Amino acid sequence: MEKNRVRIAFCFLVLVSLLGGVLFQLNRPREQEYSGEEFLMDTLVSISTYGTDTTLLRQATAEAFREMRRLADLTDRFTDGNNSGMTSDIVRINAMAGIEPVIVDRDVFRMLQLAKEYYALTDGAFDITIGPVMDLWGFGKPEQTLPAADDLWEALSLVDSNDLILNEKEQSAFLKRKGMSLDLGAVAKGYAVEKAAQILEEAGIERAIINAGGNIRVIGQKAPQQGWQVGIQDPRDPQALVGILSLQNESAVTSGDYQRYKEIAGKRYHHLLSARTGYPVESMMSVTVVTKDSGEADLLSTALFLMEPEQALAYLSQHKNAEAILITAEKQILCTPGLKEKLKLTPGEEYVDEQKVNDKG
Amino acid sequence: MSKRLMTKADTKLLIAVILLSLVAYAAIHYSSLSFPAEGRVLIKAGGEVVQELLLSADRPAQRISVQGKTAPAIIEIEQGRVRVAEAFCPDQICVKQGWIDTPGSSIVCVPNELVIYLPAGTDDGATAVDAITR
Repeated sequence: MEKNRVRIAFCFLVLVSLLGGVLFQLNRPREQEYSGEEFLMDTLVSISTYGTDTTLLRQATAEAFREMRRLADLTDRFTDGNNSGMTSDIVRINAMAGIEPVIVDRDVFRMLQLAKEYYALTDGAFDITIGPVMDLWGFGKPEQTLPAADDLWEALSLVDSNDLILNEKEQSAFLKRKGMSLDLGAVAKGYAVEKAAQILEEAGIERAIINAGGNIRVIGQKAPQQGWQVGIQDPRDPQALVGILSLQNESAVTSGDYQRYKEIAGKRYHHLLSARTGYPVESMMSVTVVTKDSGEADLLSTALFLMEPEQALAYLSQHKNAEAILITAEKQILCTPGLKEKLKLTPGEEYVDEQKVNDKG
Repeated sequence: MSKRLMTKADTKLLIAVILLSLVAYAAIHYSSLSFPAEGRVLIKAGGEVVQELLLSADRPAQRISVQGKTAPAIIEIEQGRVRVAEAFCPDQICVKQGWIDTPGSSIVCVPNELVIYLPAGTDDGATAVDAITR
């Protein structure tokens, strides 16, 4: 009897300790994914966060979306696309053109400041007062006619960032002439993505990826010793990638001639318009910019797209905080040397990879 | 009778229990809650998954109609690939994109708030990317 009791006690002990181990394993905090997606700023925005605290992931993601929604509503150019029913700062600035300055949200003011900085940095290649010309082309609308030359010249005469007056003290913006209008298409999305990333980072999230219609911002690494793998779209084959970037704590944004365009009489006209001619700029197929800040990457990808390739490379050699992959109209792929470590090019045969040429230079 | 605490059968049982527990322990430790996601196509409208279909290489061609935010769209699925065949959106970006077949890729129709995904599996290895900049 004594022996049996010892035996039972022993077995009981073993079972309890095993059960304890299993329970401990089940309760061990485990890496979870929490994702959300929303249609915002004319694109699909998805945020995927990773961590052990699901509540934190969910709350931070919700807060990031809330901020992006706020910025989307503030920068929307058309009142009918506005979810909140309020009049956006941009609509107000445009409506008050030639009349009076408008006091705007701090973030909107910052976006306009950034846009003016890039106007100066790029010698006017990039200009957010392109609104009247964009309206004339009407991208995203079904009409398939070219703007009349006279109308285009008239619209172009209203494009000039020097006539966008920003008053930092009053946080106000003023378009000097009636008919002028802002288009934040190249600024707002990247800026909003960057703000969303900052919210996630401040909440303590160490791994996340934000994708706003190809405008990518990553936090941390995908896995230890492994960056997030971000493919670069082949501008002529939607199925193919010309390369893969390995990113951590940075952003990649692409401006291309293949995303928003309209076909008129068999010819494609894309939405990246020259502030000088009012026509699409055709020296490049796509420009991908890699920088820490997604807002800058967004601005710069558009600005570089509007330059000649040589001019763009010259700009990049003077501004070391940004790396870029340029795909020219001649299907040459030009990369800045700083990308060597994080870019693997896998272009189709029709492309000429000029990376080596650049490394020497 | 021997004075041993346990018989041979007891020892065997104990070893079996310990081994079983170790296996269970390892299974819980290494398993993740994700299921293999390859070979599927997810269709989302208004943020909800409205269709989930298998995308095997030998499936016969199929056209389905999905109601988006503003209008229906015709989605065509065949042999491991999918496309939007017809849509009523003004920009037709979804139709122009054509076929997709790579896990991780997607077709998005913004005006109609429609998304077609080929979810990336956990073990797709080198070919899968986390996102595409475009």
